[in-house]
This record gives sequence, structure tokens and C-alpha cells, in this order.
Amino acid sequence: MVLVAATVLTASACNSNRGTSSTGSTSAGVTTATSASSTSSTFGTLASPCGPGSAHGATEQGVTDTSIRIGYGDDRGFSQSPGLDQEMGDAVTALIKWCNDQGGILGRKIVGDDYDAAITQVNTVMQQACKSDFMLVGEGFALDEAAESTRIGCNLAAVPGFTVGPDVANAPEMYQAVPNPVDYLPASVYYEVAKLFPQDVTAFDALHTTLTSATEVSYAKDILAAQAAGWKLANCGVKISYYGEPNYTPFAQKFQACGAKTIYNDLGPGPVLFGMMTANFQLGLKPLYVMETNDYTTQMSSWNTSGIGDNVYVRDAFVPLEEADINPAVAKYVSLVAATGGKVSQLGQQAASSFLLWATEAKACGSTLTRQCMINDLSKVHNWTGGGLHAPTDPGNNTPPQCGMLLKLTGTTFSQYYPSTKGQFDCNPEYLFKIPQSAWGTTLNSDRIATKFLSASVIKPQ
Amino acid sequence: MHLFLTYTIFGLVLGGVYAIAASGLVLTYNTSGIFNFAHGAEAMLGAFLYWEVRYGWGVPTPLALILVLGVFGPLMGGLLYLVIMRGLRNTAEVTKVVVTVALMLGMLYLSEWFWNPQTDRTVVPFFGITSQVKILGADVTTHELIALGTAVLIGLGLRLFFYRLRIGVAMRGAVDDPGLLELNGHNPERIAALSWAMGSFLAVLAGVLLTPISGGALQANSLTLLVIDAFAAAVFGRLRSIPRTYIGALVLGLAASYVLAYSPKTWQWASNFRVSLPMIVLFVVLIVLPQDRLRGASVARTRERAHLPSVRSAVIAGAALVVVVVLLRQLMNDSDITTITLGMTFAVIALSLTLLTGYAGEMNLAAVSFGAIATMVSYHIGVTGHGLASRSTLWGIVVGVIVTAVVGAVVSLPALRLRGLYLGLATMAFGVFLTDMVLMDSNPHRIPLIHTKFSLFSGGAGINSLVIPPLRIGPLDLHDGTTFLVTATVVFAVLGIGLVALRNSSYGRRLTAMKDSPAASATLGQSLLRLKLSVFMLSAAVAGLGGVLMSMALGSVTPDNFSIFLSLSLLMLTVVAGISYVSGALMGGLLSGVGFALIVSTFHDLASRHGSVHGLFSFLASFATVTPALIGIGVGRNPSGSVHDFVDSYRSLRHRPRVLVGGGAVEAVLYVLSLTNVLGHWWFAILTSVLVMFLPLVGQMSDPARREQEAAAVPLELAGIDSPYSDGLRAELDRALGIEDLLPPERLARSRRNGRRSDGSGDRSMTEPLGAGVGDAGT
Repeated sequence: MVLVAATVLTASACNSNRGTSSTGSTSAGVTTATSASSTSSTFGTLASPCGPGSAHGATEQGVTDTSIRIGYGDDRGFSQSPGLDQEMGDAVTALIKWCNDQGGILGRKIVGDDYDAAITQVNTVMQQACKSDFMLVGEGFALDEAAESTRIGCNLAAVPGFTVGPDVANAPEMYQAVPNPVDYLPASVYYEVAKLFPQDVTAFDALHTTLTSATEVSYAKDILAAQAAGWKLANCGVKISYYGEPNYTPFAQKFQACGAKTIYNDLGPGPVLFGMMTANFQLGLKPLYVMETNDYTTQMSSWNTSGIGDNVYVRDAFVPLEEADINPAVAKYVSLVAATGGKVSQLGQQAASSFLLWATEAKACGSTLTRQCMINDLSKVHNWTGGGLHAPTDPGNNTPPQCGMLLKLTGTTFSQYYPSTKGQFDCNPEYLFKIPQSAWGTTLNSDRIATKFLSASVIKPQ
Repeated sequence: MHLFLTYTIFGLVLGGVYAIAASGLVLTYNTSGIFNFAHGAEAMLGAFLYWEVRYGWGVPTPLALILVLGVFGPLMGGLLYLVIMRGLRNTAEVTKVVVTVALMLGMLYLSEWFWNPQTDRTVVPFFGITSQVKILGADVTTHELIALGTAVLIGLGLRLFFYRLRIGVAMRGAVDDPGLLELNGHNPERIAALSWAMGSFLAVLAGVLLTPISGGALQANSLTLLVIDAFAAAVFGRLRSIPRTYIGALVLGLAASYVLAYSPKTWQWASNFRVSLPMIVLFVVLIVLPQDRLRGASVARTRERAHLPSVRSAVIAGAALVVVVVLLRQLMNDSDITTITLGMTFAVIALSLTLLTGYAGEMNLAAVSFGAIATMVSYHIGVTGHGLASRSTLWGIVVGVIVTAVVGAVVSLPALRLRGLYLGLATMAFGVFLTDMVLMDSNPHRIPLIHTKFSLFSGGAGINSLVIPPLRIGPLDLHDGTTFLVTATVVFAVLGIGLVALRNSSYGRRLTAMKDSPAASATLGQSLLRLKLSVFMLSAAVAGLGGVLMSMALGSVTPDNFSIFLSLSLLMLTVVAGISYVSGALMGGLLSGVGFALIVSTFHDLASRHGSVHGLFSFLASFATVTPALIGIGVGRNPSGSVHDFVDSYRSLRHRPRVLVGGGAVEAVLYVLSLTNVLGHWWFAILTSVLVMFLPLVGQMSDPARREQEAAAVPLELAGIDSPYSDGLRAELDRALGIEDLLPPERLARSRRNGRRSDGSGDRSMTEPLGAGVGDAGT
């Protein structure tokens, strides 16, 4: 039982942040900020969707004259990793309070059901939500694929914080603030690294593990996108055990032998990654590490006391927390969550952005607040930054951002490395990489909706 | 040549650490007959404590080493022996396995409790991270050299210890004949405690040496698993020879290193193969090497006891179970139903353990892994429809169960001459191999002849999970939660009744005979081969069925759903509940499928919602994770399981219909109150548990005379030892032996008078002569 869902843990660590990592689109997504102490009627650049009003009517399950009941949550009760992704739930809790303090959405107070899927209980949680909630908002369940048939079966529309399973990432009745569909990859990082370090991308390899479900599936896409950006693959034949190796030096030697100059990594921070990097260091190998956003954590930065990780570059489509002083949205997020005693991280920003997207459209629906109305409206949102939390995305078309930035780890701090102006994203339509169908992991119909659980009764945008 | 040399050195270093760990295992097994599954966890705890002392408290390295290796290691081992292991004498092999497994799980939970796994802890190698030397052109870190040197020194040291030192010779004596050793003035207890202290020291040493080699970052699970890999080396040494163990460890280390170095990149499976290599070696070694007679197998009579229910009472109990579940369903919301269904499917898997271990005395440490086989088969051939409308078919399940039975036979056939622990280890090796290698097969292969792409465990595009839709047979559609729950309960009840019937048949009696004494049973003309093979196949089939149902209840499964740890904890909880009983399987299954996960998440929920008492609730949550392990460790004191005690306590209520009816009435009232929402469901659950627990106690309290009599009753053959041999006692003896009728009337009258005077319970004792006492002595 100890290891039961340890694998799943990485699945969450990796894929969950795949959503985060989705890069942005236009150029200067976030400009310089005013002061961090903005008034409560805005969230960064977004006018607050909350406030008094006279919306009424029990228009749908969970909606009454005075309240709207939504479900949210994470896997915080996972016994192998207490507190897993709890920043998701913490963010939504804080924002619900913020919203209700202003009077709710047009006068209807938000009632939140904070679910703990604890990895294995996800289907159970989904059945509960099916019985009582209007929608799911800002949730992040690592094993979401296991509950997807339940969710679609009860038409529980969702604006998730992140999605993991391929049939969830392109699901019907689902809109994400920062999409991570199976058929498009935000590829800014490959172009940026190719431009900044042309000599290093002439030989790159991915840090493969025996865990096929999460990391290997994304590597398949990453490698294609990197090659499209001009990287040259040096297949070193390294594949380490996800559960840890007794000795990483032989693998470091393989990297050395095949001359890898850049190592691409999807694996979350932890003993396996740190062991591998330490072994490289001991051999005198100093490759460029290009990593997914899931490595932008304090676990990663606090480990780097020795400086082994000083050449770690992380892709990002969010304004990093370190820039809260210049970005009012990030500052707002940090202060709201801090006020309710929650945990702050980029995953939390992601959940917050999804909540804001949902609340904005819920306000637009007003007294006609139904799932149909929400889906109609959400499908028309094509430029979303969460008030400046992240690069612009297209939730309505489920396409990831065309923008990104590179963060660099130096000692125990991350800082923006490229573009050099803080808060600025690097954008280019070319950065949206179309993934070949063979790597999707599911089948999509002509509307790019996963067909696996699609039935005639799902709510379609009108 | 350079490559070869480099990888040889790696292999030797790894082999050296394996050797240190494995020799500790051999040491403890030899002196106490207990195979210590917690050995890896001891290494892990040692490594964590070393980190805490060295980096947390900032103690200098030499002092930290002395504290951890010199004090903590031996102390932990010694205490483990004195507090827990000593109490395992005269228990069945499975009890010993379960206690050490529980200890392993407990230590893992404990480490996660003390050292939050979300924080990273790094141990720097001795003399720093870049300190290395060149040996014939290959870079070797100083730390690795130290590890290798330590392994050599430990090997030589153990040799000298066993052959030159008196205590070492005595330790070898404890292996051969503890009785003789005692006659020569040694204390086998003290020797065993010393060997456990040494074993634990070696485990901790392995942990401290291994961590920096593997990059220095501590992770409880992987560290524990790495040391479990050393099992293969220990078995190569036949669990008694240290030199052979060393050879085994070196071979293991070198093999892993060479597979890594020379396997072609195109072999997709090579890395999974490398990871599961120790388990493959373990399996092969178990089968190929001639094994010593197992210690402990000669125990004449173990402490485990079991009553045998009749088929009639099993049918009644089965029907009652279905009724109770249907009644409870009215109180549950939909999500609870899924959870309980999951528990029920675990209970079906646990039934396979009841059959195999409870009835036949064989061991399977990977029951859930067999469920994976049935799940895969039924996924590949038994799914119809698409998306939400897709369903599993009966055909798929039937074939899946048959295939599982056949695989069970294939696994057990070569292992049939093994018994007890060795068979258990072989199944464990199989289970780990299955999850590490077979279930990891998610890349599509092209099958040569029919040119279709196929992967064993993947729903497509290399994703390592399977979606198992619910079963539909004609009108019966398990898509509905209630239908699924009732069906799973009926399946459990029918299988349970079937097992009781089996146990009552001549086949069942032959199984029990084999369990009690294989030699005697073979002497009487039983074919042990046929018995073992058939019972293993049956048991695998039951586990397969339970596994498919479990997968359906989960909806989607990953290799982790079949992890060896799951099998081990299911076995543990089933033994705790009573592995010889169908009801034990029910309780074990429900506990592992529902119980603790639910309790832990409830406490976590409470902790996150009530900020002010956050500390208390998260303590309770952490404590609840350790609880199953504590209960498992406690099984050493009560090896028959808690169901046994529970049934015993109700047995005394058999003649107290009023108490039973009263209890039933109270329960009915509670149920109605809960159904009408007067009483919360949690309260209903709590009050029901209290009622069920305390009803026997109420029965005893309300019957003081009976209680007194039972307390006073002394088995007849022990009468007169603790108390004076009175006339009354003599009269009772006469009466019990039927001498009364032979005595002349006047003497009889006298003895009756005396009897009344001395035992004080008057005529009552005449009409009910010592019945209870004699009965108790006989059971």
C-alpha cells in the first residue's frame, strides 16, 4: 500500500504542471504593475466578477436564489504525500472568501465543497459532486481519468485547475484557464533555448524513467517539439528506475559517453532527479538542464545549496511568484491565500485563474445561470490572462499559450532569465507545436473533443 | 576494457552493500527462525536518523556514525527482539511473516510521520561530493571505496566472529540445537537478542552507506525496496551461509551493472528487466537451489486455533451479510457505496488467502498480483461497447479467472517442493516481477505473425493504465452502484459458503491434514503435489475474480493498484482478523479496502477544516496510518485473529436469548433513527460498533452467577493443584468420573454434604456439573 500511488504522485507532479507549463501567446502579456495593494474590486487587471446584485432562480442543480454550490479540491489526503497539491484547494478557498466578502456573484453567495480525492478516492469524490454541485471549479485531481466517465455521465461541467488524463485534457463540458490539450504543445522553451544556447542543443537527451505513464508520454511529445525547433537528439540509452537507483554514476557515464550537452527533464523534483544530477556533477558533467514547470518549486530551489543545479532552466507561462512586487495579480493571489492561511505556489495561481474564469462567466450568465449558459459563454473566451497571472490563453478553443519565459535557478532562488525584462513573455505563433496524432493517447473528433466518453447527452456549446 | 572495468567496479560496490544487508538478514533468521521483512525498513530508518543527527542536529560525522551505528542500530534490533520477536515462538510461518511485514509498513509510515516526504534531505558522501580516485583509469569516489572496504571487513569480521569467538560459536550452536546450547550454560534468548542487534546494525550500516551512493537524497520507499533486493542474495546463501550470501550479493550487483552496460538501446524492456532482476534471481535461486529444511517447520503444535463452522451456519451468515449490506445501503450516499464495494472486492481477494493459508497452510504474498492477470485478460478479450456504454462481459471474466488459475499453477508448480516461507518468497518475487516488468509493458509491440500492435498493460499511446468498465450479464448491469455492491456481496457470500463447504468436505480435511503435518499426510497416501497444485490454482482463481471486480470498482487501474505492498497489507489485515475464517477475510478485506484510508482522510479533512485543533487532528491522522501496522505487530500475541476472539465472546451469549433480542432491538431502533435522519450516519456507525463490541460484556455482567462459576471453574485435571484437595473436590471428581453410582449410599450422602459446604454454589453445581469447565479444557 505504501507505493500504491507513488507513481500516480509523479503523474500529478508532472502532468499537473503540464497545464502550468503551457506557454503564453501575445507579446508583453504582463506589463509593469502598480502597487501590490490594489483595491478589492479588481484582481490584477481583471475587474472583480463578484459583488452584490439581484440574480435569482434555482436554475440548475446547486443554484438557488441566494447561493451557488461548486466543488473544488485536490489530493491533499494522499497518505504517501500528505498535502499533495493542496495549494489548489487553498487558492479556491481563499478566492471564494474574497468573492463572498464582496457579496457573492450578483448577490448569490458561493458555497464551496472542498473535496479531497486522496488520489485513490477520485471516483468517490466525483459521485458526491455529481449529486450536489453546480460545477467543478479549479480542481486538480491527479487520477482524473478514472472519474471522467462519472463526471460526463452526470454532465458535471468543469473549469479545472489542471487536467492529467488525455481524455480529460480534451474532454467535453470542460474549459481550462490554461489549457493543456493532447494535440498542441506550448513549445516556446525549445525555440528560446535553441536561440540562447545554440551549441548546447546539438546533442540533447531526455531523462527517461521506467515510469511510462506520465513522463514517457510527455517526452514523446517534447522530443518531437524540440527536434522541430532544431535540437539534435543524442540517444544515450539512459532509463532510470522511477523508484530510485542504488547508484546513478553508470547513467551519468552514459550521458558522458554519448556527449549529451542538454538534458531535458519532465520528472518532478525529488531523490531520483537529484541523485542523477549529483552523479553528473561528480563526473564533471555539466549539461544544460531544461525542465518542465513542475520543477519550479521550493523543493527544487532549496535543494540547490551546493550549486549543482545552477544550470537548470525552467519553462514557465506564469508570472513567477518572485515577481509579486511588480505584478498586482500575483501580489493579490499571494495576499489572499496568505490571509486564509493557505499554501502558495504556481499550481495555486493556476487554480485561482480557473476560478476567476468561472466566476466571470457565472456573472455574465446572471439569472440564467445554467451549465448550458456557462458552456456557451466559456467557449467564447479566447483571450484570458487571469488578471495578469499568466500569459494569454485560449480556453474557448482549448489551445495553450503561444508565449513563455525561461526561469533560471541560481543557488536557492529562481529568477526570470529570458526575456530579460521582468514580467515579460516571449511570444510567437510558431511556438504552438501541433502534436502528431500517434502521440495523443486518445482519439479526437473534428471538434478536437476526446471521443472516449462522448455521448449524445453531453452539453455542447450553442 | 575501460567500460568493462568501470561497470565491474560499480557492480562490486553495489554487491558489497547488498552483502552487508543480506548478511544481517541471514544472521537474524538463523538465530530466531524469523525472516525479517522489515530489514529494509530498518536500513531506511537508520539512514534517516543518520541524516537527522548529522545534518538536523549538526553533529560531526564520526560522532554521528557512532551514535547511529553504534547505539541506535544495535538498540533497535535488541528491542525488536525482546519486545516483539521473542513472542513469536510456536506460531505459524505466516504469523511470523505478517508481524515483520507489519513492522516494515509501520516503520515506513513512521518515517513519513517524522520526516515529511515533501521535504528533501541530502546526505553528502564521506569526504565530500567530489572526492574520488582513479583506479586503472576508472573514477571511483572515496565513498564507494569505503563502502567496498567495509563490505570486505564485515565479511572477514563475521567469519572470525563465528569461528574464533566463543559467543560466535554459541550463536552457531543456537542454529543447530538451542536445547543443547542451554544445557551447556548459554542463554539462547540472549544470543538471539545479540544477533538481532547485530543484524540491525548491519541493516543500518547498509542504509548509511547506500544513501550517498544513490545521490544522497533520502526517500523512504525506495531505500526500503533497495534492501529488499538483497533477499535474493540471502536466499542464495540458503539463509545460513554468510560466504555464499556474499557470493550471491556480488553476482547480483555485477549482473545489474552489466545488464545496464551492455543491453542494446533497442531493448525497450531492458531497464524494466534490470529493475526486476533481483526478484527474477530470487525466484530462480529458490527453485534451483536445494533448500535446507525450514526451521520452525518442526513445531509440533502452533498457537493458532480455529473453529470450523457448519455449512448450514455459513449459509445463514451469508444470507445475513447480504441482508445487512442491503439495509446499510439505505443509509449510504453513492460515494460510500463505491468505497464499500471496493472493500467487498478486497474481501473476495482475501478469501483466496483463507483458502490457501488458512485451510492449506501454504503462503501467497502476492494475492493482488494474481488479480492483475485476470484484469489484463478481461480487458483484452472481454470489453464490448464504447465510451460510457462500454461494458465488461462475463466471458472475459471467466477466461480471465481460468488464465489466472493456470498462471497460478505455472508459478506454483516449480515452487511446490518449497514450503512456507520459501513458497511465500517465491510468490513475492513473482508479484514484484509482475508489477515491475509485465504491468510496465505499455509500449505497443508488433506481434510477428498477425502483424497487429499489442501491449499488455496500456489503454493506448503508451499510457500505463487500463480502464475497466463495469460488468453486464443480461439484465444485471454493474454500472449502477447499488447493483454492484449487492452483486459483490453476493459473490463474496457464495464463495464464502463454498469455501466452508469445501473445508467440510474430504478435500478440505485433506488440506488440513497437509497443513498440520505434510509428512504424516504423505505417509497416509495423500498426494501432496496434487493437493498443493489444486489448492493453489483454486486460490489464484478466487484472487483473479476478486482482482477483476476490484478493477471494475476502481474504474481505471495502474500498475500501482497491484503493488506488492497492497498484497502484503491485505495479508496482514486478514491474518489480524483471522485468516482461517471466511469472516476474517471479510473483515481483512473491508479494513484494507475501506477502513483505514477512510479514517485517515477523515482526520486530514478535519485537520484542514479546523485550524485551531489542526495539530490534534493531523496527529490522529498520522497515528491512524500507523495503526494497522501496530495491530499487525500485535498479531504475535493473538495469532488466531480477532474474529476468533469475537466469535468466542458471542458464544457465551448463545444461551442468553434475552440479551441477544435486546441487542437486536436496540440496533433496530438505531437503524430506524438513522434512516429517518434523526441520527447522523457517523453516529449510527459509532453506536453500532459500541453495541456490537459490548453486547457480550453486557451478557456476562447481567449473569453474575454464571460469570462467577466460569471464573471459579478449574479444569478437572488441574484441580487440587492451586487449592487444597478438599472433600468437596473429591466429591466433584467422583461425580465427573461417574464413581457416584458405584459408591455405597452413606458415603455418597457424606460426600454430597461436603460438596455443598465447600463449593458454596449449592444444588446448582449438581445439576450442571462442571460442564463449562470441562468443555473449555477440551476446546
